Amino acid sequence: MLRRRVVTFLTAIALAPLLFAGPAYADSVRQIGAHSSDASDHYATGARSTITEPGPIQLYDAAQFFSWIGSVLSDGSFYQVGYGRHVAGCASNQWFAQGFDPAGNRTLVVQAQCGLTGTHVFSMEYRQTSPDGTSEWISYMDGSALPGSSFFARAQNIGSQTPYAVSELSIAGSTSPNLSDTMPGIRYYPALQVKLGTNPTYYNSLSATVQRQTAPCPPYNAFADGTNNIRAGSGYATTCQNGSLW
Amino acid sequence: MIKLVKARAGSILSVTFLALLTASCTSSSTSTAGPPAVRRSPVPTSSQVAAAGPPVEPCVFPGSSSDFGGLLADSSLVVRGTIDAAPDVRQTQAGASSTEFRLQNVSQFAGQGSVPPSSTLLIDESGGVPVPLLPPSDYVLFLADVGGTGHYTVADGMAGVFTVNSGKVDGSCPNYSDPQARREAVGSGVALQAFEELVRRGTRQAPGAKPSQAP
Repeated sequence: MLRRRVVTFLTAIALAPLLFAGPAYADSVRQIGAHSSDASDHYATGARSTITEPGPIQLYDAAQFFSWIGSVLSDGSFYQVGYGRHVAGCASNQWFAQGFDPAGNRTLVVQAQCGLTGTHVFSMEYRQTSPDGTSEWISYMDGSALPGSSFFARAQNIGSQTPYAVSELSIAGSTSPNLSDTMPGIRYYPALQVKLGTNPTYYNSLSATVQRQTAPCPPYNAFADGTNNIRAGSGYATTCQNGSLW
Repeated sequence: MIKLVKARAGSILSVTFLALLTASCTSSSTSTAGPPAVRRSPVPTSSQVAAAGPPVEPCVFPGSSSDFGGLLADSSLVVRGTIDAAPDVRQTQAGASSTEFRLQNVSQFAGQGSVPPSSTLLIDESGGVPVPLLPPSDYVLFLADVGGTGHYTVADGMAGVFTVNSGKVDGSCPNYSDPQARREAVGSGVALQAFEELVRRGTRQAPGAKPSQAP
């Protein structure tokens, strides 16, 4: 018993910096996913993907987990929609939508439907422009508009940007998510798609690169499983190098 | 005295640390067989909600004329001018607001677009809080017109904003984790004349300026 206590004590000393402080990084997030590298996605008026959340993730801190699609818009603002987990007031999944103005200020955050599970089609689309030039963007889940998700910008398309499909662990403040936080199972993003102009038809993004924002290298990775199909999750070879998905 | 305070603070920290370790040891030693225990953390409160946001891309000052391709495609006008006052925030419709900047002493820059007769341009940005976007300064701005209303918006957000200080041009990027602290572009501090030449070359390479944003 004494030997067991000594071993536990020494282990606790070794882990103490991670358990009580955690490595600090300026960005406070670990993201993994895909960034379209298809130039024909420029000026898209909508982005769409089907997101499956297998869960459960394992969190050892106050981190939140997000699986989302989103894009910088032509005016430099940013809009995203998808699954959010472990966010305020809900210990499981819900949908969320967020928007940031061109200077980086968050001007929209909405989340609802605590307990949401399964596979859902998320999309974010330009909707209309008022006479004063303010454009409304809105998010959909399975074809239904998400209440309160309207985001107002000066952008009718994404300009020379391209959309993202990302799985993310993030934490408020300057402390990075615990290195032990994992996302077992696979997050599916079958086909990252965009639409152009007023045409309601979506088409597949033709190329994408690994998008990661991590330091140090986390225990999960993103990879492609057939053309346009993105997978992200734990337990896969992690190279921490950007490269083409397809 | 200072040493005494430091020593006392040190011993308090040590005791606290040892107490935490002891608690950890005790709980470990009393655990039983079964599935591994997952250390669940409390659900964050609203003040702890992380911002998510876009991946942080490298913030680099445009180094060649071809780097201006996307920015020029999104712009209808490039100007130099001065903002010397705080913006006006006004409500545009239910749930929406707009921030209006007045750009004074406007002159065309590098030949992109055509400057209206007035020496003041109205720059409208959606949202009520883009305070860090255009603080009072001397600027080179890449602008997109808003449906022929005589109003403009900055093209590509911070990517279309360049400040001019003592003849040098600086660029910056939005900072989604701390909006009040801009990320200064690597390579900032380019001489104004050299910057103008880069933009002029970029304009020649990509002559198709963005059309009006009218729906």
